[in-house]
This record gives sequence, structure tokens and C-alpha cells, in this order.
Amino acid sequence: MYFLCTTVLTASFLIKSEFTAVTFAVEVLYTVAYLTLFSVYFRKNKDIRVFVPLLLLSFALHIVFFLKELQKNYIKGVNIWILVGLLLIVCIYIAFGTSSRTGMTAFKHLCSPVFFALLFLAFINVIAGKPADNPVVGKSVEQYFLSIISPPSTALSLLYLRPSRFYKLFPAFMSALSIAVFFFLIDSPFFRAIALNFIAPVLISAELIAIKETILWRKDLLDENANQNQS
Amino acid sequence: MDVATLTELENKVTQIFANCDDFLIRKINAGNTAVMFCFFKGITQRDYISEKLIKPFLVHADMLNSFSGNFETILQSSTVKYPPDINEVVDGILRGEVLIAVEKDGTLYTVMTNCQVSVGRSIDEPTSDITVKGPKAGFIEDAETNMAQLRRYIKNSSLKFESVNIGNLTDTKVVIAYMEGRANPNVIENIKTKIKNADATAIVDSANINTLIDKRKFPFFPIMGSSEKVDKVASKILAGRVAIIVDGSPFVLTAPYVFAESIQSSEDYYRSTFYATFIRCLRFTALMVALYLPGLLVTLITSYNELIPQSLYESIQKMRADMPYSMFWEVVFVLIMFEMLREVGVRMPRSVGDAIGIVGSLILGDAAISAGLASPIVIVAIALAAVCAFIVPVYMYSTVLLRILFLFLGFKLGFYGIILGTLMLLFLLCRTDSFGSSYMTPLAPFDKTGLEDFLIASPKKTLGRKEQL
Repeated sequence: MYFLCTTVLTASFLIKSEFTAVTFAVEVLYTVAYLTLFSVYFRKNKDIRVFVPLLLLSFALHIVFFLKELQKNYIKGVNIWILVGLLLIVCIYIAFGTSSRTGMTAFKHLCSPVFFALLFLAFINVIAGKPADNPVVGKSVEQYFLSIISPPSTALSLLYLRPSRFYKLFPAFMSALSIAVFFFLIDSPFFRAIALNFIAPVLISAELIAIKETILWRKDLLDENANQNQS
Repeated sequence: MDVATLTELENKVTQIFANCDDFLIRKINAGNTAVMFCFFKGITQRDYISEKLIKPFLVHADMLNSFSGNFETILQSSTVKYPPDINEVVDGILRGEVLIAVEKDGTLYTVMTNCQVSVGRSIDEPTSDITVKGPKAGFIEDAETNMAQLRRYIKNSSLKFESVNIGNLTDTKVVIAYMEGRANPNVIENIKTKIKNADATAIVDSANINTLIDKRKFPFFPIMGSSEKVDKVASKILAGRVAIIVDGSPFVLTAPYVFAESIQSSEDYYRSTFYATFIRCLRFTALMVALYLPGLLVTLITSYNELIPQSLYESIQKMRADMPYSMFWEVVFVLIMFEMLREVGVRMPRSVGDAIGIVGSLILGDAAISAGLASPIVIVAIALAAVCAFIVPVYMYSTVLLRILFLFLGFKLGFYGIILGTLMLLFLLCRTDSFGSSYMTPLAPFDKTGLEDFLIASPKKTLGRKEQL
């Protein structure tokens, strides 16, 4: 549970730490608020279908922003659609490519090696980097839009993948925040890019799993998650 | 028995074993009673047959006067069994048993006794899994000797051996070994069922059992371990694994098998903790180098040259100044050349193969540089990656394929491609299941206790402990 929550939350924070101090702070505050709200909601309700549009929007936004950032800074001369295609192949493989019933087990298992890889990258980033020169306020409105849309989808995916109340997620939340702050304050562009490359597909896959299982509407799965949530 | 007379039995076995020059029928007259012995001469002990089976009939011929089928009073053999039908007789003879048939007062009496002789080499140091410290004994091709070797290590009644014969043509003996109370009963049952239900024509090596049991569509990573070392298999059995011994193969399989085992060696437990931990970390690093070095080299030189020191980059560019093709094709060329040399070295007789390996690598490498077909940096990188793959022999073949995949991804998409490939590989490893145990345990799912025997070697803590798989 710890690794799953830390990895997904770090992924969400790390994408926003690419932008500005304000978007990062907004992201953190909104995430706390939505995690609290959704854990209350899931205690009484089972249905997450009403949130599918939000999840889809966030899913699309994450893909676009992640690839735009990558292409702007690190990947040159490759068609954006090839990158989108590859990213979708990886995410769909993670969400669907397992013989287990939901794909969640394998995804949960994936989170602990990813967490250790991320920790290793954060360590190198701190050693090799220098104090970051992040702007306080960004010029792009899209960044602020993403900071508002992304937290609820992260909270939804997280609570769907491992239903729990927010206070139980607090250690994971703090770890994710610490890692993201390290990447935000200290900048070694190369290792930061690798970390982003590594972790963004995890967040997108988490959202895809939530979308997949909601759209496919398997009552047994939803009941199971709801039961876990209420326990 | 579905045969009434000695002559009828003789005709039947002669017909079944027609054109088998190694099949013998020996008939004697003990007093006035005809006794027949049938066996294969190559797989039975001839002295034993003469002294313990034929001689008693001649010495105690008078006992046959009142004989009523009780062979135990005459034979000096520890194992006797009474075959119910001719099929049992044929199977027994093929396994190295001797058929003894006596016809008395119009009634045919038959018995089978085991005289199997161990055919093959004596216990020797294995050719793989070589260690400097620790026991040297290796398994051989004889299943019973291998069982005895394990029994010598584990003198405990909980060590169980269950045999089953499979293979329609080969009728190979397969033995399942486990420690009762330590091995997972579900895994034992799962393996037994799969082996019993396996519809195999011929089993000649333990690798065939692996293929029969592993039903995955893409068996990219092995879910069963394989070792020639007795102490290693004994340790695994003690840790709760199930071992599969196949008659005719010196490689014993163990299940479940997890990724962590690939970077462990039996010698780690005979050395100092610190050194063993260092070596394990080195093995893990070597695995990473074997996988990523060629891909990273191409990516760094072609797309991210600002990340390597300027002087090094200039030096590499000078080396590659007259190169007629790109870095990617140069790496592909050297990789393929190395794989060819490796395959030649493996397939040729050992003395010639070693010579070809050394001379071929040195001369061809040097000639390739002189001819401007490859640069020294590429030769060094590929040689290092290829050598590192041998440190973790279990993944030697998977590493070759993945190395090429990462090379291609790095060439086309830079670090983005390599990292997405890594993520897919990690997911593939995380979803792999070895007989109910997660392949990446203790890392995924995370198990703090299991980590004491992952990269860190802590024999004092883990010695004799049952693994929580």
C-alpha cells in the first residue's frame, strides 16, 4: 500500500513540479482536499462511473503535457504521434496485459521497484544537481488548468486501486511530497527527466486501470473495492 | 499373469524383445524343474545375477520339490515383486530388473527382482555453478545416486521422494523431492499433477520437464531453477522449494524460482557477509550493464552527447572519424559478431572451442578496428556487456534479446524509449508468477524479511530459515 500510494502521488506531484511554485503548491493542496473528500464519498457510495469524464480528461491531459514537456526539452526529431503511440502501448499493456482478474495486483507489485528506482534517481539528482531556478508564477494557463484537473483523478485512481482513508495514506503522502520537493528544489535536468519519464506512465496507467474497470462496469470488482474501502 | 506356461512366456518375451542383442534368456534345470531368467545384460549386475539369483536355485534345488511360488525362501535379494501381467514384466526388464520364472506341476510362477546397475560417470565436480569454497559434489545422470546424495545432506525423515514414470517411449523416472512441513503443499500438488498429466512422448533431460510444466505463452524468464550442485539444491529444499530429479539428467530443477535467486550463489553462504553482499551488488550491476550498456552508448553518443565529458566525446569522435556507418549499425555489427563467436565456442569441441573463442575474439576484434569496421570504444562496450551477461547465467539468453531491444529503443527514441522499455520489462517481471509466488519477491510485493537475503547476504540470520514465498 505504501509503495503504491507513494509512487502514484509522486508521479502526480513530479509532473507539476516541472511547472511553477504556484502550480505545485496548488496541486498539493487540492490533492489533500480531494483525498479527504473522496475517502468520505467512497465510504457511502460505490459508484465511480460519474467521475469517468473527469478521469478521461485528466488521462488525456497527462499524456499531452507529459509528451509536450518531453518533446520541448529532451526528444527532438521524433513524431509526437509515435511517442503517444508508444506511451499508450506501455500504459495499455500495464492496464490490460495481465492474466490476473483486474491487472491491479501486477500494478501494485510494479510500484515497489519503481519506488526504489525513483528513490535512487532522487538521490543522484540531489548529489548531481544544483538549486533549481523555478518561476513562482507561470505564463501558461494550461498549467493551472492541469493543476486543478489532475488532483481529483489522482485521488480517484489511488482510492480505487487501494481503497483507504486519507489518514492511512499520510506516510505515503509525506514521502511523495518529500521526493517531489527534492526534485523541485534541486535540479539536475538529466536525472529529473529520467525520473519524469519513469514515473509519468505509472500515473497514466493508474488512471487507465480506473477508467478501464469503470467503463467495463464489473459489479463484482466495484463491490470488492467498495467493501475494502468501507473496512 | 496372463501366460500359462514357461514356453509361452519365453515366446512372448522373445517376440517383444526381438532384435535386441543385449537381451538375454538364461534357462537352468534345478533338479527336475526348469527355471528361466530374463534380463538386459548392459543394465543389470551380472555377478549379482550369478551369485544371488542363479546359484541359490542350483544349491537349493531340493527346495523346488515342494515349491509353491514362495521365492523369498530361495532368493537372496532385498527386492522381490510378483508381476500381475506381461506389461509389468516388460517394464521391469527395461528398468534393469530380472524376471525369474519357474514352472512347477503345470503352474507358472514368476517374480521380478531389481538388479539395476548404475550406468554412467561417477560423482564429479559440476561443469556449471563452479565454486571456490564449499562442497564440490555435483549431480550425475543417475536419479537414484542423486537421491542418495541429497539424502546424505538432509538426514531427516521429512525429506520425501516421490517417483513417477513419464514419456510414452522413454518411460523416464522423474522424482519429486521436498521437505514435508517446509514446502508449500499446493506447490507439491501442482507439480505432481502437471507431471502426471503431461502427455510426453520422450523425456531425455530435465529441461523437457520444464517445458512440460511451464504453460506460459512467452516463457521469457525461467520459473524453475536448475542446478548441478548438490549443496545448492539441498539448501533450496531446506528453504521450502520442491526439487525435480530426472533420470538421465545431471540438472535438478527447483520450484518456485524467483528473480532474487539469479544473483545468489551457494558460495555466498560460505564467505564473509560483507564480501558476499559486495559480490551480489556486483552481479546486479553486471546484469544492468549487460542489458543497458550498448543501448546507452548509442543514445549518449548520438542524441545526448552533452551528457558525457567533452574530452571523452572528442576522443570517441576521433576514433570514429573514418567509420563508414552510424554508431547504431556499428554496435549491431559487433554484437552479432560476438554472438556468432560465442555460439561457435559453445558448439565446437572444448579444446578447439576455447582456442577459437580466444583467438577469434582477439584477432577479429583487432582486425575489425584496423579495417575501420568498428571503433575501440564499441568493442570495449560490447565485450563488457557480453561478459557481464555470463555473471548471471540464468538470464544469459534473455539478456541477449533484451539488449538488442534496448539498443533499438535507445537508437530510435533515446532515453524515453529505454525507460519505457524498462517499465514494460519491470511490469512483465512483476506479473510473472512462479507456482503461486511472485517472481519479484521480496521486492514486489515488498517483504522486509526477505530482503535480508536479496542483495544483502546475511547467512547468520537466514541460515536454515524457511523462505516466505
